[in-house]
Amino acid sequence: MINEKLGIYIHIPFCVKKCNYCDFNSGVYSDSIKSEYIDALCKEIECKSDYFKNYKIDTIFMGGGTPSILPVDLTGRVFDTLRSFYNVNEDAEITIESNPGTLDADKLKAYRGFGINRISIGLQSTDKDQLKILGRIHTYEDFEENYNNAREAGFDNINIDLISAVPGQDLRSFSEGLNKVKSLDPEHISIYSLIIEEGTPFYEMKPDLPDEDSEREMIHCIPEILGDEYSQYEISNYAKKGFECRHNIKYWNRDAYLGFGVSAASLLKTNGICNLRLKNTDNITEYIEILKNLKEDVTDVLKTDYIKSNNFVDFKSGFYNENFLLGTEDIKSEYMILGLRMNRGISKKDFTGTFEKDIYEIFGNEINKHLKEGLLEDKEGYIYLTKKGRDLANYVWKDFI
Amino acid sequence: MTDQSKIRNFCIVAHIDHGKSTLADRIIESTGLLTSREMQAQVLDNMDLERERGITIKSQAVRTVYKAKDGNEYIFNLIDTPGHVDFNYEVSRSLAACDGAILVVDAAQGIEAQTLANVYLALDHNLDVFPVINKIDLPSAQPKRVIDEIEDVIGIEAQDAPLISAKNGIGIDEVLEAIVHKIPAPKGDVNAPLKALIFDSLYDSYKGVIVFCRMMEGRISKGTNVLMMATKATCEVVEVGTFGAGQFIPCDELTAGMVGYFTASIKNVRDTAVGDTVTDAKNPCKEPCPGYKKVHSMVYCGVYPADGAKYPDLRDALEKLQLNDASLNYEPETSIALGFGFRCGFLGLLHLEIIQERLEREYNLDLVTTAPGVVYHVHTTAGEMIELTNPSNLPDPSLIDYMEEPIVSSEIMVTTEFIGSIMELCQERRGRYLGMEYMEETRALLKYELPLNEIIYDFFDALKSRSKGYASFDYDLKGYERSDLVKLDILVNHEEVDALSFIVHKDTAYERGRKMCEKLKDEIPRHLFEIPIQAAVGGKIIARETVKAMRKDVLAKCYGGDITRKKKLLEKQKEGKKRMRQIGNVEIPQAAFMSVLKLDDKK
Repeated sequence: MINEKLGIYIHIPFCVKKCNYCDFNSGVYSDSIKSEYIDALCKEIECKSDYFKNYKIDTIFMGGGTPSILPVDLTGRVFDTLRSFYNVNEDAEITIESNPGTLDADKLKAYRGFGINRISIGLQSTDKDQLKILGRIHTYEDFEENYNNAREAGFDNINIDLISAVPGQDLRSFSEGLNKVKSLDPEHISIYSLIIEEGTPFYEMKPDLPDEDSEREMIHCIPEILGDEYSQYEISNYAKKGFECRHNIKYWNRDAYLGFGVSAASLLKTNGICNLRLKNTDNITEYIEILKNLKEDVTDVLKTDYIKSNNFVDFKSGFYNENFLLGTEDIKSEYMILGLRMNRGISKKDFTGTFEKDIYEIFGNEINKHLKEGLLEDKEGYIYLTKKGRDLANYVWKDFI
Repeated sequence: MTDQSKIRNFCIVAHIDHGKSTLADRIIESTGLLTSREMQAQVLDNMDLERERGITIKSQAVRTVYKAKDGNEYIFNLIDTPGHVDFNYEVSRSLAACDGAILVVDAAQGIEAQTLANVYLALDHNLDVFPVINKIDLPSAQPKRVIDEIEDVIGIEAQDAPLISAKNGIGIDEVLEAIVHKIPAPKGDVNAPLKALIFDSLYDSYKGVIVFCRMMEGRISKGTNVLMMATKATCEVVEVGTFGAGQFIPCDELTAGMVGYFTASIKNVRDTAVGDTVTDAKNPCKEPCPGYKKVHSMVYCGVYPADGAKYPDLRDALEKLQLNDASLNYEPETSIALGFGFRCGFLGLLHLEIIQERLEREYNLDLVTTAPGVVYHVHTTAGEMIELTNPSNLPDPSLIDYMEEPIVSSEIMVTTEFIGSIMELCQERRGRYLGMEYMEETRALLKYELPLNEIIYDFFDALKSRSKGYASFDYDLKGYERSDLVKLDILVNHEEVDALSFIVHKDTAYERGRKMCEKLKDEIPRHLFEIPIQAAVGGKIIARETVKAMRKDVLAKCYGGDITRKKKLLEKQKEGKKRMRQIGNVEIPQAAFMSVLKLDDKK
């Protein structure tokens, strides 16, 4: 009997060139590694499938890296494998991430053929100089062409990624860029504030960033520019009604998702609650090796070794970077931190339904403190971050850890 | 019993970096640890001993054996002395255990401020001093000039001073012979009642309190019942011995003229005060050894455990450190901001830093220290005089008649090209010019009287940077002078933070207050609300800075489904919060209390 729902994430760690701000698991690899990786990925997808026979896949998200860098035949293999081993819903949301400069009309048409119905395009900035500073390989014109190609191919759910607080950016250049993007009429816009992460080129370059105040001014002008047509549903995400990203919402709702590929994370249900966190190795050579060496009759191997007492056991040491069951305290704390990322906030009724206790009984002190500070609000059955609370969310979340 | 005529007790004095430690190393290397007689009698015992847990002693004292050209074996007891001006007291206690001193002077640098200070200290203790000219192999060496300088400035015979290079082992034999001939042998009466001077002690968890002593008269051995003449404590000696290189070597007895150690059934570490005289409880000597030059702590600051629960650990650590360093003193105090801690007295800022480091490293304590200050004399309208070590205890201004601050007389030796900038520095620090003497054409000795509270912060750093490292400095407490002093209070979000208050001269209050506010503005993280930081004198605000309200603190990024990573970032933030002190509703990082120690001046 199929009743459980499951999201699937697939990681494609390949890029034409690493961007200056990027600390995701991605890099420049040869064609032969790419094809070996896809072999391994398909094997992972296949070998885990037995344990998800009772699940309906309602979202798929292929992220990266730059998934659109793959030749279409490799992308096709991944989706074929998924469809042959999993029950993919007909109305599943299927997203692929892409970057301008790696897309063309044929590729986009092929994506439609694989059932991909949502495309996310990493524009990041509309300004030539800022794109250069960020280390991007494309121009705004490249992007616009790809955007039109996607519309022509039939994509009616497009996301555009932007970065705010880019070195050299001010309120004017940010709002100009956002207006330009809005005029294209995408269904969804993600806007991430630039964070300088350790290990990225920016970390060494120490670029001059816009100060805290102007960064916030940029973020605060977004609703006004986007107008009533779009609404913010999460810290960094804005969408037209009905076009909120269903896959990402699973993360914030702590719904089950299964990750495939190097460094992919999963949250899975054991004993009726999402409490198993897995994260695959972040070493691509190791990932390929382990899967290559799995015996042909993988399913048999897995039956005995892969899942024990409802827990995923490492089938070869080193495959998982993380593999642990969360305790109730951790689950509650994640529930709050993730739930509060969404503008809607946390439903008090859902909280009680999940934990069999009133939310105030468990987090009364914390919630009251932030209600008093004007960072949280409790209205119509929901507890959510105020506008000010969204600026200072870490400060609030910290207390729920 | 050791023949006193074959013992030489001495120390080496020098300005910092003139090669004192290198010469000490050479002396130890070129001599043996045992006499040939001891070699036969004790070699086995010693091997056993070496297998025992080795105790690394502060290389405070070492005993070596030298076979001289006259065919005799001499026992050398080399007692180390610190060079820094902060440690005049330590120098003094080491000197009291010696009969003579070697003065090391750098052949290129010549006499420096600390050379003078240390030589005068040695002469004060009636030590015979002979000079050694070091680093003669440097291209810039001018031994003849330095010899003349020694004779002119210090007034001791230097024409036959050994010309050596301790680094390259040149002339070391000459030094060893000079020790035999120029350092007098001790002349204590072995048959008189026991009289020994405690010049150091340390606590070892294995042996207990180890007392370092110089035998003046009589003898001491296992089982002797000793009396500490100042503390009146009595105990029974468990072990006596001498100092090997980095080890304690037990022996049967110590007799007049020798330098060694004893351990005893000492219960309280406070019973063994450095400078005290040890005598036989049953047959005491009439007079104790003349006491050391009594020193007073010059610099005080509050020392608090970062974790309030570690207060007893801090107390124990201070007690043990004091045993080893009698110049440290402390008493409990409470701060509204920092809780329970101690007001500690130090010889100077370097001493403070060393103690702080030892507490943190050797005793594994995490500390918060407050701004250092000196001891002020507060004369009240009631005619009383209060010695003020903690600014928070300053009485209400209406009750104060006048205040006095400690003044030091200082000597700064400097090459002539920097005289101008050093004089400027001294003026800025409220110095009173006393005069200047030319040592030779290119070097001068500047004499200034300076308020101590002007030199405890960053005077050394400023001196160095303004003279490109060529100035050397020494000072001596001169006395107290009436001064126009005020208490500078710091208010964080309108609340006075007692641990941040300090005393300043009225004329520098504004400048210090401004710098303090600037510094704190950088140290205190943004909060949800704006935080005014104010400096005030007598309730009047004289400087203000503002920590702006936090406007942004959010992880915007979506790390796929990798929630663990997000949580780790938040956990890290939460951890940082723990290292804060809550003052009212403001969290002040512990570092803020310490950063204030160094209000950098324009260099």
